This record gives sequence, structure tokens and C-alpha cells, in this order.
Amino acid sequence: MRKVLLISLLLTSIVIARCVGNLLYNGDFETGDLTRWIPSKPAYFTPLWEQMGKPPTPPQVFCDNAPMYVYQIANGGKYLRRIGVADNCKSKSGYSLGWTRTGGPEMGYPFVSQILQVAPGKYKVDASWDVVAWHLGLKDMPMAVGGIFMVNVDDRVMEQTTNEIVLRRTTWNHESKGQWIHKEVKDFPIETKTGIVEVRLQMWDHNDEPIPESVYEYVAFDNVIFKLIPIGTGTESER
Amino acid sequence: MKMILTIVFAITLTSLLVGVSFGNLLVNGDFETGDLTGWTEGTPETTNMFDGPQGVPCQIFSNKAPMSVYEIYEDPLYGDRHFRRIALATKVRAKEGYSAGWAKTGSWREGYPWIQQIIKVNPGKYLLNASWDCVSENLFFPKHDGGPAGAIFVVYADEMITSYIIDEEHPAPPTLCRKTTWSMESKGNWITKSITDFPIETKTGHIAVRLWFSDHDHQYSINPPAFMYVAFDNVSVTLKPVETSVR
Repeated sequence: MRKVLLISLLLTSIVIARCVGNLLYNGDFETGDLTRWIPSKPAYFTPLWEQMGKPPTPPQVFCDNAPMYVYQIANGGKYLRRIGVADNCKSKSGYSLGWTRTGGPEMGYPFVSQILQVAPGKYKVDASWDVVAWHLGLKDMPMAVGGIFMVNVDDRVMEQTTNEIVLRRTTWNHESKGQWIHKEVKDFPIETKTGIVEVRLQMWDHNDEPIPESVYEYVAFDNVIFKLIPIGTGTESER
Repeated sequence: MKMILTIVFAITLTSLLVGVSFGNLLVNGDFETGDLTGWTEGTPETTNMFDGPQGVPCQIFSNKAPMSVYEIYEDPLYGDRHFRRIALATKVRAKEGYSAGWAKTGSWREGYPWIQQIIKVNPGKYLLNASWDCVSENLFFPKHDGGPAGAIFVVYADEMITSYIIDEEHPAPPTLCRKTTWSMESKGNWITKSITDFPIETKTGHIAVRLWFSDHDHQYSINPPAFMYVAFDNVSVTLKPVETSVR
């Protein structure tokens, strides 16, 4: 029994130790690729994926020398093709992550996630990120497209949804207006029974209408920081 | 009755398969869908004995949405290997509409990048006729005197369709047909290539048509912003059955 307790304590210490500092790797995308981020794609979501539609416009890690492409969804989602370069969207610094869409709305939810393993228990979330969202064709329409920062836990991890499960913060086009803005969450309480926590960045394509080829919408993120402060341990983890 | 149905089914199936042997057997050989519809990209998941780390990705590009130059680099701290887009390869023009290609710089360490289609025909002997446009260049050697980039058109049959063999001397002809356009020949200009009446045989009826980006000289890393590239367009493959009077 003592041995079990000892192992449990040791495991908890190891896992909690991982909570020090930013828990995300490559949260600033400076590797220039999606290292450690998992993009949403059919393989992860069968059969849910089929209910939610076609594969989404792909996540793009971009910089000013290699901007995002404008991806067009054509023929009811049958084809997904680059039709231009999204010069309007500049990266925040170095490399950023984003999505673009024009053409049809037929697609699943575009997102990328990192899955973290921490000790089961209660935590406070401290997080911050830079985000931009804009629709070049619907400049006056509120909530046409948004950038979601989302946290899910346990059996809700990697769920195909835009709904708030644990934590969701959305930055809409009418707030960003194509400008990078800084967002943060402080001391937001969450609880995980299994210790599995998902941090997700998602494009919310709230406008279900086709977009003419001459314009497009986009969402991008950068400098994503995610910290967990254990609650009820008596001492806050060192950072 | 059951026997008649079986015969009718067999005749229908044969007709369908033989029917496939006429005209271009490739789907989206001109890449005008704007994506890789019909093609499968070579990855460790799709290839037996994939050799070396994954190569740079195939890109379907147009003049309005040109290829990106992918840099292969290894993180000096963790040793992780990354691909990152460092620039747009605006120098590379599509042949027409959309073309398919690869553009890379940085480390030479990568597996062979390729895309392919697997065609199902009747087992038997055929004469292969094919044509394609291709371009290749290594801008690290602007005089075309080193580090050749190759645009390889290759056809496999039967058990070789998911193989990773590129050696032209592989002892399985005539199931292998390979034609390479090196950068010394193309020098950055699109050229048209063709194969006429090349004999192939398939025991299973499975034939793979593969477009391959070969970084032949595995000793040069390329310093950005220079890069090498290969691209294809208008790929057409037909098979003419031989030694049968039915077709």
C-alpha cells in the first residue's frame, strides 16, 4: 500500500512538474511548421467527421515572406485548392498560424490542438494569445468569422464542436477588424478527472454562405501561452 | 440461371476493365482540379520500406498561387526535423492552369517525394504510351553544373506498385519503365516528354504511375534562398493490349 502511495505521489510530482511555465511547445510557431500541434482531419474523427462535413481548409504556418494561400472550397467540398496569396494577412511576428477560406462553406471544423497530460485535479488557467480575424467581403457583418481559443478536458477532448465545454474565448472579425489583438484569460477554474487537457485554436466560419472568389476570410494566431496552476495543493507550482 | 448471371457479370466486368485501357487512364493528370484529387502522395504510411525521412510536400500551384519554397532544417537544440515555408517560388511558373511540383532548400536529408496513381486493368501484356510536361532546376547551381534535380516518370506493376525502388536496373523489367528529366536538360524550361509503345506486363492488373522528385546528388545542402524544384503537368498514360484478339 505504501508503495502504491509512493508511486502515486511520485507520478503526481512528475506530472505537476510539467506544469511549470508555458505548457505548449511551439506556441509561437517559430519552428515554421505544426510541430506538436495536431490538425483536425478525418482520421481523428471517424465517424463524427462524416456528420460534420468535408475536410476543412488546412492550417497554414506562415510568415511575411511566405504568406498564407487563399484556399477555395469548390464543387461542394470535393476540391480544396489554392487560388491566390493572402497578402492582406501579415504574421504577428516571425511565423504565425492561420486559415483562409473562400468558395463554398462545406467543410468540417478547422482547428489545431495540443493534448497535455497533467495530474487529475483542479487548476486555474492562465493563458494569453494574439489573434486576428477578418472577412474581406463582409466588413460590416458582425460575427462572420472568429478565432476561438478553447480548452477541453477528459472525454470531450478533440470533439468536433464550436460549443463551449470548459473554456472558450472567441475573437470575431468585428472586434479584430483585421488587426492583431492580444487576448488573455486569468485564473479560470477547470477540473480534469483524467488529467487530459486539450488546448485548441479554431477558425469559426460562422457565415455559411459561399464567398465569391475575389474575396476571402481569415483567422490567425500567434504567441499562445497556456499555464495551469494547481488548486488545493497548498502551494502554487513554481513557474 | 446462376451460371448465366455469372457469365454476364464476368463479361460486364471484363468490358469495364478493358474499357479502362482506352484514353488517358489517369484522373486529374493535368491537375486542373487544383488539388491532388486522384493522386496519392508517397509517405511512410503509403509506401513499403519508405527510406529516409519524409520528403517535402507535393504542391499544386498556379501562377496566382505559386509554390512555396520549403526549407528542411534540424533544430540544433533538440534535433527535431522541420519543414518550413520560407518564400514563394514565384520564379516557377505553372505550365498552364495548375501544375504539380516540389520546391526545397536546406538539408539534403529526405526520402524521395512522389505522387502516384494506381490503375486497375486486365492482367496481360500492354504497350505503354505516355506523355507529360516537366521542368526541373537547381538554383544553387545556376550554371547547371551540379546537384541535379530530376523529374522522374516511372511506371510499376504488380508487387512493385507500393515499392520504394528507383533503380532503373532493378531486375524486374518489363514491369518497370522510368524516364528522368534532369535539371541539366530542362534548365528551368518546361519540356514535353513521351514514351511510345513501351512493353509492360502485369500479372495482377495493378499498374502504378508515379511522378517523382529526385534530389540526385545526396551530398549538397542548399543554402537559402536558393532552392531546387521539379514540376509536372499534362500527364497522360494509355495502355494498348497486345497478344489478344478480343481487345
